[in-house]
Order: sequence, then C-alpha cells, then structure tokens
Amino acid sequence: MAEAPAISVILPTRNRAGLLPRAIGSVLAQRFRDLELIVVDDASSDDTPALLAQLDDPRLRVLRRERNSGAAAARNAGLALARGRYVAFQDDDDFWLLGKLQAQWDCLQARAARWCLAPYLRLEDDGRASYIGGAWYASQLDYRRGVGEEGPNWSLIATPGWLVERTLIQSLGGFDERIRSWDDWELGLRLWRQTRPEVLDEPLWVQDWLRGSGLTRAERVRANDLQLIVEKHADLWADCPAVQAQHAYVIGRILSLYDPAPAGRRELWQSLRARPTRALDWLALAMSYLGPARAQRLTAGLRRFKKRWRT
Amino acid sequence: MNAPTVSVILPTYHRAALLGRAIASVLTQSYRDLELIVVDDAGRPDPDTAAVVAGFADPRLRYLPPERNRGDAGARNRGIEQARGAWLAFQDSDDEWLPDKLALQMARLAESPAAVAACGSTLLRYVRGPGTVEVVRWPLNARGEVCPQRFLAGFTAFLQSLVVRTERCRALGGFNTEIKARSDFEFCLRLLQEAPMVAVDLPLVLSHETPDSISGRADYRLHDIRRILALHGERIRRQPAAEARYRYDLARTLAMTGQTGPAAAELLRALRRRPTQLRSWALLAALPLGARRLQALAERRQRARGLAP
Repeated sequence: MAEAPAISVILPTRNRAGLLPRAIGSVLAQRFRDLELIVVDDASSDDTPALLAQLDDPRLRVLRRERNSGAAAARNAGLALARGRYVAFQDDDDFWLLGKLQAQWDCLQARAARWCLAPYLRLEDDGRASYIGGAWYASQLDYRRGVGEEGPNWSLIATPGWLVERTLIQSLGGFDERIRSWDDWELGLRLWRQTRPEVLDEPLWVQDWLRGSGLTRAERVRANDLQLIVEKHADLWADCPAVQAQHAYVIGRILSLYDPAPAGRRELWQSLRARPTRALDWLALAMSYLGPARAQRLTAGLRRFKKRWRT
Repeated sequence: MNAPTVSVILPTYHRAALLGRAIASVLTQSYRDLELIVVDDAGRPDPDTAAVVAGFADPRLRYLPPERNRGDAGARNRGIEQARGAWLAFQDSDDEWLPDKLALQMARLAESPAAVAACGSTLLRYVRGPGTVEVVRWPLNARGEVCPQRFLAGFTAFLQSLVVRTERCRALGGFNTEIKARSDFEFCLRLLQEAPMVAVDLPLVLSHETPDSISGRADYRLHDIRRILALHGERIRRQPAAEARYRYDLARTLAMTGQTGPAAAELLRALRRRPTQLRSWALLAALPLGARRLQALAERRQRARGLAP
C-alpha cells in the first residue's frame, strides 16, 4: 500500500445505513486530503455492507466484524490498523464541516501539541441548536468537575472532535472495552494525564440528535461505567469530596432504580455522609426503599413534572 | 454535456478568503446533478477570486468573470440568464451548505404537487464572537407550506436555503435591481404571491456571521423599506400588523441616523395601524435621547442577547 497518510480517521458503525453516507462523505470531502478512513462495521445486519462495497475512494478501508462488541472495541480494532501520524474519530450519525481536519492540523503544527479538540454545533432533538464551544466550553473541560446530574461534562469531548497523536493513544492502550457508553470520557481522562488539549473556537462539526440517536444508552450501563471510572481514576478526585459525593449519589440513585437495594443504598449513604443537607440525596435514599419498579415509576413521574414545570 | 437538474447561483464580491468553503460545500453535496455558477461581481479583475475558483477541478463549476459591479440582485440575474437547470438554488459566498441539503429538498419537491414552485429549509445562523447559534425557519402553515401572510410580516428571507423553478423565476423577471440589500425578500414576496412553496424543516444551511454584519447599512435599509412599501403597499396595508412592523423598522433606522422628526411621524403611523405594539411606544418615548444614545442602547441589548450558553 502507498505511503502512510498524515491522519487516520476511525469510524465505527452499526446498522445506520441511512445516515452513514453523510458521515463518510463528510470525511472524504475534507479540504485536508492526506488521510485514510477506516470504517469498522460492527456486525451490521442492514444494508451497511452493500453500501460500503459501492464506495470506491482509495483512501477508504473497511473492517467488518462478524460479532457485535461495542463502540470502544470497534474503535480499538480501527486503531490497530491506523497508520497515520494522528488519529481522528467519527460517529455514524454526526458529520464534519469541510474545514475541520485542516483547522485541527494547522493548530497541532503551529502549537507543537499532541491533542486538539474541535468545537461543534449540536442539533437538539427538540429542534433547538447550540454551539458547544467558546470560553464556556473550555471551562467545562476540567476533569475536577466530575459528573453532573445529566452526565459528565466531559462527555462534551465526544470523540468526533478529537485529533490525537496516534502513538500517544496507542501507548495508553486505546479505549477501555469494559466501558460501554462513557469510553470517550475515560480515555479522555488518561489522555489528560499526559497532555492538555488545544481547544479551537469555531464550529467544525455537527452532532445531530435530530436525525441521529443522541444519548440512547441505558441508564444502567452508565452506572456501571461510572463505577469503573471512579475505581480506575480514584486519585483524580482524592481531594474533591464534593465530586466523590456526587459520583456516589449518581451511582446509588441509578443502581437502586434497577437492582434491589443494598449496593445502591451503600453509595447513597456515602454521599449523604459528605453532604447531609442535600434533599435530592435523601429523596433517592427514600426511593431505594420502594423497590425498583415503584422507584422507576416515581422517577418517570418526577421527570415529567420537572419538564412541564420548565415549559 | 447534458443540462443539469439544478443550477446553483453564487454571487461573490471580493470574498476570496471565504469563497472556497462556500464552493466546496456545493460541489460535495450528496446530490450531484448540478452546475455551480460563480458570478464574480467585482468591478475589476479579481485575481484572488479567480485563483480560488481555478483551484477546483470540477467540470460542474462555471465562472463568470467580473464585468461591472451590479450588486446582489444584478449579479444573481446575470447567473440566472446563464442557468441551464430546471431548478435554481442560491448560495452566498460566506455560507456553508450541509451535505444533504439539495438531496432532501429535491426529494421533498418530488413528493409535492406540480404547482409547488419552490422549497426552503431551516437555517442555522452562527454568530462569531459571542458564539451563538440561532435556528431560523420559514413560517409554515398546517399543510407544510410557507404562509404568505406571516412571511410578509416577518420581513426576512434566507435565499441560501431556497430551491425554485427556473421557469417561475424567469417569469417573475428575477430579482429587482432597484432594491439594495433586501432583493431576496422582495423576490420571495412576489414568488409566494404566485405559487405555493414548501420547506424541509431540518437545518440544512449554516450561515456564518459576524456581529456587525447583522445590522447592515442604514441608508440601504431606509431605501429598501420605502421601495418595498411602494411596490407592495396594497398587500402590506391589508395586514395592519405587517404595516406596523415595516413602519417601526423605518422609524428605528431614521431615529438611529438622527432624523427624529420623520421617525416620530412613522411611529405615529405604525401606532395608528397597531396601537398595541409596545416597542413603537417604547421607541417613541426614547426618541428624545437622540441618535447616539439610542445606538449605544441598541448595542448593549445586542451584546446581552449574544451571551454564550
């Protein structure tokens, strides 16, 4: 095969034949042309294989996996094939604007950096749009903030915005395949220990929750992910009792929604020891005594109420 | 070469630095059956623009070199004369089409009755600096067609999203060159009078703006509102809310440029049409502050609106 390209783009996909051409097209049409695109088909059962077979750009490589093993494993499989000096990641329901890679490449060259983050536009599923960038964005990227009610603010570093030195990411062992949903956050934490990302300030890609999926992962999966991350990176929050309490609360609240009590309740007590006056913690603890079925119904009701309250 | 289905008209005026992005976003559309006509509206040869265009090796791209500066409307008409497609689409030199724009609009048109002459889409307006993004939609009625009354009252059009039958556009005489900055709006006003227009309610165009490009030139604004009132007065007067809106805009521009007397007269007209329009009362009360302080107030309000999330 020809000389190694400057950038390897890794795109894991599964059963998204409708939107995949847009994602692929937005990579191959980039103004920065010295790239290879590695599409990892994670055992799709729809038209994806046929669609991929039709494309005839020599920069495209397809890796078909016969058994579904999740996005982290698919990204790692792509990483193993990557030959570029840098790697970028794409998701099948998002798309890049045409100047994305060029802007990130220029940034890494100019500042001799190893990791660059591209801000983006998010199309919310209710028709609104937001710019995830600027000073506000940079302020959210502090790992010490931990997880909020909706998830880690770090999830704002979704992988389609990354351009990272390949050897750096490979030396870290790639994505942790035990983590199903927040694998980007977890690898981000490990990258953060090595280097700081350069953050640009213009929209360079679009996260499409209008036609794509958004955060569909089951809540239960996220509690598992968070437990793994908290174990693995305990030292990061060793002197942040507030973040520790928040993590325990999120894990405990979710666990007691899905499993009969003890584990979740233990987490909630841990959170309450650190912040005994927080009403939400007491509410979650009270709900843990209701049992999963009733707790889920009550949570759903409270969320509906909150939504109506806002509108 | 066979005639393409869509002719895309892109007028440009000394914008070489941004033009490449606008051209690329058309040529990389998933809908490929198109020609792109770049109309260089500079008054003299512009080697930078010519070089940007020459950098694209795509036979679908046509370049009309500078002749004389005609303005937006004249430049678009020059492109329309050369168009070979059955449909016309419009692009601006600083904007970016998203990849499926034409494909989704042509699919929407294919499922519409033959009488439908045009299709718009939603627009994302990104304002650099404050870093805000706004979602701009065509006003649609329950049938999914653009509502002419609400469009008239809204006083904005975004041509970058429009696909229109070439025949229809030519029958209307193209764009009105007497109008300086709002010829797109005036064109759509005539278009909607004649035939229904549909829209794809997905953001398919990204418009890049800087905070100061929103306000525009006051003299053009005055001229355009007066011209549109003269050309379409009868229709506008049938809608008191729309007339009040136009008069208010006129008054605001007059007030900002120090013409307090005429501004007051327009506000009184606006209030006669629509006594409940609060902002007319507010502006009337603020008139004695004078142009400079009114401008400072308006700037402060813009800054406050543009705060990051």
